[in-house]
Amino acid sequence: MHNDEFADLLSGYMRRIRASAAGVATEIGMSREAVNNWRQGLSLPNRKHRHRLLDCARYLRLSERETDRLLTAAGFEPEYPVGGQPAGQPYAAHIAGLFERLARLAPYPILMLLSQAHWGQPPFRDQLLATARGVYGERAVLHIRPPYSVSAESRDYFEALGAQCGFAGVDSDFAFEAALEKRLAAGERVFCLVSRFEQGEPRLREALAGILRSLSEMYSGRLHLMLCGGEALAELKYQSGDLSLLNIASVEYWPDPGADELRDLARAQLDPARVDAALVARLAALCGGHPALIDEALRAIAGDARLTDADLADRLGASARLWEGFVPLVDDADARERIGAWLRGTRLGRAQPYLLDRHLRRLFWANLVAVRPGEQGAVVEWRCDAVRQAGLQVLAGGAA
Amino acid sequence: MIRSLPAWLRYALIAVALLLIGVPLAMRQWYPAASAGKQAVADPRAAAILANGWSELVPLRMHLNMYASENGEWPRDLAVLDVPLSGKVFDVTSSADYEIVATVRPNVRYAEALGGLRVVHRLDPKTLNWDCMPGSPPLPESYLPLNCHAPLPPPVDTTARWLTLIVLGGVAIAIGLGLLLVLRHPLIAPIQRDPSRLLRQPIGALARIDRALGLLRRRDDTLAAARVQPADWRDAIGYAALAAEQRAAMLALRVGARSERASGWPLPGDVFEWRFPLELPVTLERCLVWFPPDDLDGAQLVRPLRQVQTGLDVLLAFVPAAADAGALRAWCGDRSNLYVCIGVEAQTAWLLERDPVRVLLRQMAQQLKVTRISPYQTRGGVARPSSFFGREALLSRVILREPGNYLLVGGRQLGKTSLMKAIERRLREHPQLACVYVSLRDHRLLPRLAAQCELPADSGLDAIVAHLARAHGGKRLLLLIDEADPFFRHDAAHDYRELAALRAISEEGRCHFLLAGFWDLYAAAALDYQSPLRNFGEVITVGALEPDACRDLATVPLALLNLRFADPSLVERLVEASGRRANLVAILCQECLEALERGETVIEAPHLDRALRSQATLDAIAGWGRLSQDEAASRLDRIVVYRVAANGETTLADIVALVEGAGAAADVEALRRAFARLSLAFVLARTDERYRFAVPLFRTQFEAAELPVFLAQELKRL
Repeated sequence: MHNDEFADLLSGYMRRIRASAAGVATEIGMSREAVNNWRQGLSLPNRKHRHRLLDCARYLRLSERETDRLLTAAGFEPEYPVGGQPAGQPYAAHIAGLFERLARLAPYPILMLLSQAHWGQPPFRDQLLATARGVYGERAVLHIRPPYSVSAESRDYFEALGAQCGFAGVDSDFAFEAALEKRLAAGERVFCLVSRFEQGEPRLREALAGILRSLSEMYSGRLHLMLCGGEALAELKYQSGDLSLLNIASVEYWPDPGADELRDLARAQLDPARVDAALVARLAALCGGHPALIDEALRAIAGDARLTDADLADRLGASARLWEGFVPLVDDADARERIGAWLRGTRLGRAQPYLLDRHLRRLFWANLVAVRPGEQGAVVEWRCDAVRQAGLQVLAGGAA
Repeated sequence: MIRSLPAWLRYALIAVALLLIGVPLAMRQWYPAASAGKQAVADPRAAAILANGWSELVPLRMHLNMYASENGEWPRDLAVLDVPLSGKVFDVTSSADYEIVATVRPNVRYAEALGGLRVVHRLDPKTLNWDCMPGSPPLPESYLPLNCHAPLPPPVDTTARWLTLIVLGGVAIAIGLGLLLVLRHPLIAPIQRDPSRLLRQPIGALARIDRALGLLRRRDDTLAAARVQPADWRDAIGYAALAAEQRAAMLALRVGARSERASGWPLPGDVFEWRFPLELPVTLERCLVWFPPDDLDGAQLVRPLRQVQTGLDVLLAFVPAAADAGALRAWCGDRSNLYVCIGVEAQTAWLLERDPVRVLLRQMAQQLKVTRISPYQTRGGVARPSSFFGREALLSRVILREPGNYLLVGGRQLGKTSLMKAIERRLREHPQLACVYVSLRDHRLLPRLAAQCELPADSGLDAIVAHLARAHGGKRLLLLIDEADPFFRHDAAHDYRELAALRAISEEGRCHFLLAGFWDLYAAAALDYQSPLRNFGEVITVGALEPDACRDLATVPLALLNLRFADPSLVERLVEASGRRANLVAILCQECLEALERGETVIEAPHLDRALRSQATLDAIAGWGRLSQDEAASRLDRIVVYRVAANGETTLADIVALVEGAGAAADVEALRRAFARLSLAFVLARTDERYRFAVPLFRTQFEAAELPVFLAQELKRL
């Protein structure tokens, strides 16, 4: 049953962009036979290959909702259980604030919106775009989703971008630049949301960044950019430093849900009468702001109203998402030693815009740790006990 | 209390007071109280002596009455009367018929001072009544008997006297009212006392003020004292009668904005969109401008604003001349919205002040979050002239010399692009030299230039330069090429073919180049002896900003918004912490603004402390971990940085010992390059042989406990 649904979905998504099995296989590092078996419903991706299925979803340019659908059909937990929900949710005020801050970044209104794992890039994209249309006007909002491919040709890449922006006849970077420039030169103010900016071939990404930077500078204040991404985008800014577009961008991190957000998230899954302050406090304490754990906790509570905190904590500690988050991070002895020491302690270190410690950085982007205020400034802490429990189990399993 | 009286009553009271005070002052002789003071005070003892003297005269006057009655004439000699003519007090003589003169004898006790003074008595032959008057020299009136007084002046016609009085009184009142008009007129008086108040009058009152000043012939002097240009004054007087479109255009012109009618806004009245020039010293590129209809008043002005969605645009609401703007002011005073109420007084100031931009900034600073219109640019090339400070020596090196080639090198966000834009601005009006700025986005220089010139993408350098020269009227060209590192990397891998073309064309004198970049450019120009870049042009390194320029950068923009630092020492602390890195100074100032609470206008030490710890500040000093494309080189950079963070400073020898101590071979040349790269990136600063952090704040990124771990990790990978 699952096999058929997954096979149908995968085939449909591949047909949509005319991707071949060989092409998909090359992109995600699997054999062509494996991909063909998936398409024909002969097998499902192995549990260890969840990240490859995520790469596949990116290559096929799937939205957050489509990605979750594909993952669910393959028997995995959704990647974006919270951020893909429809509008009308709690982050509306935060999203409005993003645009207000973007406007203040004159003469170069460029904002990098970074989000940790299990949030979309950006989260609540539909709400974000709807707000942008309200602020800038329907026609002034462009949404660019750079194609994910290690072998894309410049022509294909910019043709896709041109199509996303509604520019006709774009067949090169210069043509894309000219089409965008035409609108700016006419005095228009254009807002451009770039989802998953970092994905795609570096040379083409560099060209896109160059175009956006150059037009930002030439038409100061008219091109408002919101570049969305995660770990890779942060690396591009803080490590590479080659893309001056990112050097002049202001950085914002997607915030953890507060009480209001938790209440609204809970109302989306539970009978609103059951959502009270106690439930919100319980979610905050047990999930530590992790969007996937919040989703799992709400589903568990919906299924069993008498679930105790201890039972719920145990269930969350055994979450497959946490296991999938930890496994790639403890692949060498050095990492196991360092992460093991952190798991036994309480404080992981002082928070920085760019965490210098490589292991801590990876934990952060995997959304296993959170930045929280401390007495001497912001510090990095484990999200919740469930995360620590899962980490210890992974290390113990590895040692065994 | 007098202010509470009706105006007419106040004027009447003032007129009466003037009448009562002014007339007596002018005509004292008709005012008894005024002349009373002139009478000498009589000595009582002398008065008593004189009273006896008057008794001495009584027998003589009786005999003279009888003689005149009986004989019908005045005796030829008083002696015939057989009455003593000298008494104890008076000697009496007759100087004329029917007249006797009594002279106070000398040395009369207690009346010595009156000796020689005279009194004249005259007999009326018809009625035989005596008159008495002072003689010559006269006895003071205070000593005279009651029926004795000085002769009255010749009789004056009573009607004429009253007419004179009325005329003089009228003149006095007119003068008084004139003075009153000037000194007490609610419009004119304050302006006369302080001419600068002219700039704060309601725009609708200017025409009346103009008429009053004209009547008083005070217009020119008042305008001069208020430093108002007559042309501006004429514009301002006519402003209220103009249509909204013309008013918008007039106001926009004064702040250098471009005004265009905006349609589709659900606001009554007229809406315009203004675009501001780069010269506006705050981060506001456009705004909406609303002129409500004249009949909107009070809360009606606010209702439409509550419903309108202006997105992220600031909206300036210009209050109609006669409207009550209290509700609108209160609404706009809420800094959480983006509305600015421009009241009728502010409109006057806008039209009359010499620097109307300041008026606009003051209004916005009072009604918006200061950070919404921050005067600081914290990222990217500074395009606004008002945000660019210092670098005069570097600018002079390019601008004041004969055109040549330059290589502008420096780390990211150190100000290379800002400097290039400043060069472009300064050379904009140059008679022989035209400046063209181009920012590369990858290694392709010629296609980029061709695209900018709208030439075919495969155009050669000759064709591009010829096109640019034609477009700039045959002037010589200076091409400012920003972000040139990818170009150098690519060209170096292709035997510097394109660079050779640039050199050839510059040697012909047709075009010169200023190329800006970081490490690849510097390495090729300074460290690669085979590179054709070595003699291509002069190398200009962009580093710390001059101390005075840092102080100006911190304080001058603040003053535009009527903000300031509490103490100059705070500015010094800020500049020192920034290591004089221009964008860090701007970021710290911006963060100080963010830290200000509503209504605060002075930056204190706690604000600066918060700014130094802010996320934006930490973000600005992050991102040094991969300064080179070469991972091994970047690893050496990190080792050096961690060593300085741990020990406060380091030397080449120290790092060599550290590397060798870790069991790796130390490549001294690679280490020298690492030090050069970190210095160029403004991470390190060199003093003698020692290297420390160029920006003291840099140290705050590290925790002491984690440094040995980081260092060990990097050394292990060598």
